[in-house]
Amino acid sequence: MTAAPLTIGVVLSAPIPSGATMSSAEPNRRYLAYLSALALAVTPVVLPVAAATAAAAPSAGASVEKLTALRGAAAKIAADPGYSPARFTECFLGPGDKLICLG
Amino acid sequence: MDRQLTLVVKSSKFCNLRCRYCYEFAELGSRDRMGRANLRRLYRTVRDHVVAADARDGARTTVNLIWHGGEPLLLPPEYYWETFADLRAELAGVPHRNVVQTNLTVLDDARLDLLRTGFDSVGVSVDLFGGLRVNQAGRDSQDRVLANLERLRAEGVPHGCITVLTAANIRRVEEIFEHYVRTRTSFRVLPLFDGAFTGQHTGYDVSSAEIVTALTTLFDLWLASPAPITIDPVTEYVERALRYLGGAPPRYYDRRAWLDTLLVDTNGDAYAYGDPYGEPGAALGNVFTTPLTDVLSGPAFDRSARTAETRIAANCVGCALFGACDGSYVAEAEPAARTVDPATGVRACVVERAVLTHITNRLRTVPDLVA
Repeated sequence: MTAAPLTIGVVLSAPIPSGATMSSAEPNRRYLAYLSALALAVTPVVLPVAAATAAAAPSAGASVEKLTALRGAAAKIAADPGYSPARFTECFLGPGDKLICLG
Repeated sequence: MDRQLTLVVKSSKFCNLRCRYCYEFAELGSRDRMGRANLRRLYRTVRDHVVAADARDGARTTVNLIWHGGEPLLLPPEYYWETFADLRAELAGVPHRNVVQTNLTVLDDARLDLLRTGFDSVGVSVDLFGGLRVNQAGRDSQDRVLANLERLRAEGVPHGCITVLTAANIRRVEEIFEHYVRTRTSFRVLPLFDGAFTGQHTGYDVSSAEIVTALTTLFDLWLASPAPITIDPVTEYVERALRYLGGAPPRYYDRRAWLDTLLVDTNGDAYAYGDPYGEPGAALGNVFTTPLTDVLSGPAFDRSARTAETRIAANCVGCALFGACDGSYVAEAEPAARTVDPATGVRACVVERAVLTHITNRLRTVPDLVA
């Protein structure tokens, strides 16, 4: 599945995300409905121009190792939508590369 | 379902350093510490909360204790050995881990043994450039810390590093990255976010645009490098970008369903990460005197949760990334880490959205990444 291109610096005003994958659990739907109602009651945040710096051109290519890791992580997510690398026990490169710490 | 409950435990604010940007600066001379009895109370109420929650919804919670300060290793190692014994007794049957966040300036044999066999992992604060992590005499601590890091590596003690990004080092992220590749160390970058007093960060402060540039540069470097290290939060963003590109079912951060990180001050006052830590009236409650379940369902929690939900509503509802990104960044990030929308006074998701956009657009060009 190919997602739509992202834009940045947009005014956030749409009441509901446009994605088609909203068929998740009932609590998820209820919570999203609550947030959507809340969104109608608050003024959407307008992102400042600074965000546009993210459009900077990439400086280098991708290593074979990282591409392999990324494909592995994408496959895991596709196979198990609940998959989430736990911050303290695993990263998506594998259990040998622990990352710890909060600030 | 597996989930985490992370407690950032301020065992003592006492510190031998006076890092120029430290948000605890005013309290670094205090020798107050969490007492053993209060820590036992904390363990019991965490156990009661977790066991009840897991029984209710069938999840399995792992409790992470992040021992924090001040400099937590200035306390004698016996302090930790004793409380770890209490922890094992009180949290029997509940998976838990102990992690310490240290400046690593003090590393004798007893502390090395504590790090190796007492803690499950170690986070070391080191900025690599800038000279802002100084002692009371103003002397840079870094040479000693790097030497002690070598000792940790030689002893095989699992560790990662945190590098605070300030004006003194934010333009040197390539050198920072190269250092951690060379030492095969996963690390977190933490943009300067809060101060202990007005004007503390004058001369060191960084803008949102500088942070975005630093994080996107780190992602590009990481992607191009074969080194098997992670960079928090960059690799966390990668996971969210993969979810977006792969069309994974949405997930939404709901603090009322589960608050996964709680900061516990030395006196027992507890704060969500999105709340102004240390400000009068901002605490959710006191976990030395009040059951955690009550703290997480009381009026202060309700007000705090509503404020976090408002941030999600104002920033995320309508964002194309919402669902792949669960909104936790705006819900729980430190107040001063946020650019505030001048029109509404609501913290704006500037950095995360920009970096996620960059990563997503780059990963979109990778062949065969998602079906």
